[in-house]
Amino acid sequence: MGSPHENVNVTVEFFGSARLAVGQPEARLEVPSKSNVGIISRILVGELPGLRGIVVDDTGALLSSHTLSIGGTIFLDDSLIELNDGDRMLLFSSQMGG
Amino acid sequence: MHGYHGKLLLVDLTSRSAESKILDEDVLLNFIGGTGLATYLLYNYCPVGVDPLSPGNPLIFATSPLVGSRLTTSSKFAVAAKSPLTGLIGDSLSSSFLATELKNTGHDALIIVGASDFPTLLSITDDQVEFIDATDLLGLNTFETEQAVKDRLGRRYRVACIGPAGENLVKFASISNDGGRQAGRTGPGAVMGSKNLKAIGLRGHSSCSVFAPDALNVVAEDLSRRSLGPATEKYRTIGTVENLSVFDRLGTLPTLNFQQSTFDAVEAISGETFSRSHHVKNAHCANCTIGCEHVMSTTDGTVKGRMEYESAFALGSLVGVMDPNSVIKASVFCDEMGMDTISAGGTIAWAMETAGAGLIDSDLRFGDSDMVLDTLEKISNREGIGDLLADGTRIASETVGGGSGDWAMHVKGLEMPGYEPRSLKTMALALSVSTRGACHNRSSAYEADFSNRVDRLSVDDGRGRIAMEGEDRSAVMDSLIWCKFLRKAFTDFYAESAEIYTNITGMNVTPEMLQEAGERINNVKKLFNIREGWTRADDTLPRRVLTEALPTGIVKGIGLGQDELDVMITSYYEARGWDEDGMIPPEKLHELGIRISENVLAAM
Ligand code: SF4
Repeated sequence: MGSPHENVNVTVEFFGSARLAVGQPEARLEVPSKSNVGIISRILVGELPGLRGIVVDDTGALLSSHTLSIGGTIFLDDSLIELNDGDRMLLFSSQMGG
Repeated sequence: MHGYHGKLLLVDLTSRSAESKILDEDVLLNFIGGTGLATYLLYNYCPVGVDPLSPGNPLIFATSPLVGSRLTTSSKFAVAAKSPLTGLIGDSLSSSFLATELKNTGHDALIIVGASDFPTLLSITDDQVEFIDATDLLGLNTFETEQAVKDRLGRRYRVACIGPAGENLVKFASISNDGGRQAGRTGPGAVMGSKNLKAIGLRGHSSCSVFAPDALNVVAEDLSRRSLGPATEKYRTIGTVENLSVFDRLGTLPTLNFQQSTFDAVEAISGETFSRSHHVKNAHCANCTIGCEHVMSTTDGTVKGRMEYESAFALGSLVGVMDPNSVIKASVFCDEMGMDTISAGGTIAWAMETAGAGLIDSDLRFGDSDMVLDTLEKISNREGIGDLLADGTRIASETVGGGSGDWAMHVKGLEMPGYEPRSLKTMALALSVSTRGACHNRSSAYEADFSNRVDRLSVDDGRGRIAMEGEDRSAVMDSLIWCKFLRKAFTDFYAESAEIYTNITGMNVTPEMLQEAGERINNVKKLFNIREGWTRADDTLPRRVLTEALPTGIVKGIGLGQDELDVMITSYYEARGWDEDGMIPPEKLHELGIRISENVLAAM
């Protein structure tokens, strides 16, 4: 587990329009071990600019159209959360209707 | 009166007569329109204990005060009847020009009773009703029927019709309109077929006045703008099929008749694959700015049609089919025959497992896409094994026996949609208590599960209130009628909807009144079911869900016990103010302004 000043390596898996925008199913990111949705989305769009306008806005904030989840059970918001090396994050649509 | 005509049209196919009847303002205010109005009318026009496929079962179409306005996604109508699948309330929604044309006839609702002694095309032009011999339309699919009716009556007529499945009383037959849109769930097409009614052609010239058109235009434009923002991004870009790969990863994709909730071959039928390799164009219902419909084509271009998540799951992962071309063909075939894709796929998945267990004499096996297409054809024609399957999973499993009911994946007779209840516990509750059976759309309770509001893998006694609030909000959406895909575009759903309702009708409605209308509508649905023999034992889930843990993916080992479901059901009854058996106490009815005497329901 990382301290507040450490970075950890996580993997972000892309679904739907995010996957089509970046043309790959996942990406590895180095992020602060204490992060929230805004921190991660800014790092993400820095690495993958194709996400701008589709998943993140001009300021780098995640659009409400999308959700970032750790492992499919924890859904990231503005609260800081402890991340671990090897965590897998999922980036998918916030609209789950079918 | 603004926004409504204040009239319904009652058509009796037996006596070939029709009359307009007044709809009281109180009824419209209390039940709004759409599903709410249809529920009220069903309670009052359906004889207690009627055989759903007998002439006495009324087939009801209801429009809403929003129909005919410029409001985005509002061109919708509701259909209600006693369901041949569940024996309880059956209600469905469909969209597009038919809704406006029905309202333009000068009526807020159409009730069809009786049965014709010849195959009939019912032509309604304003208040003129004709009963036309439709013998030559028998056997035509839904697309052919719609075209044939337009050729006969005129191209401006809008058409609701059944295909061969409805003619053959397949219990999950749908009613089709406007080029293959379906009022699909709970079998209204079988009710229409039982009336010897092949098609309805509608044309009207009456519009309703709007109380405050300028104010409404401002709101309509704002809502249209919001409908094109992040709140609907998925529906506009890839469409609902995007759910496949996400749900697989989250362990919520029903697969191989709910034996697991991940599908090894999901990539082959994922939304991303459909979007990259099969997408032809986007389409939309009348008056919709979102355009969630995505027309897909087989690789060889020979079959094209709209593709939705529910169809792709039911005719893909649920039956183990990994060929996207076969999934497209099966979905389009269901639309042509006029069958609900969820129930069709669910029933075939049950048959595959039952055949594998040696309980029925069939070559059906998971993953055999040719057999899926072959079986769909047999179902629509009630040929061979199709005759058994045309009655749906519940009746088929009761007929076959041998323990096959353990994997009959239905609630109250309605086949399960594509949301795995063991890994979506709030949804599990909503599926179990839903008045129309296993339905994802009458609560949208999965939204809570896909958020930090709850832990989707465990239960607690807060779920009852969440499910109730979702149901009441959905009832208001289905009554006004808004498309569910617009729901996240609202900032304050009840406040904005109340303002719009008031601008249209001039009836001063508060957000609280609308919310109470949602509660009233759900209580009347429940009253209908109680009258038809519902008991607490009916609020349950398939045995597989309650006895088997999920075996794969990130939800491996997760199950749902009967005791856990009971905790949630009890919390739901408490939230609703019902007694421990799920019955509605007189004081609750009084609180909601519902009065019943001699099986007639009135709004106080
Ligand atoms: S969002 Fe889709 S289903 Fe809803 S009204 Fe628009 S096109 Fe029709």
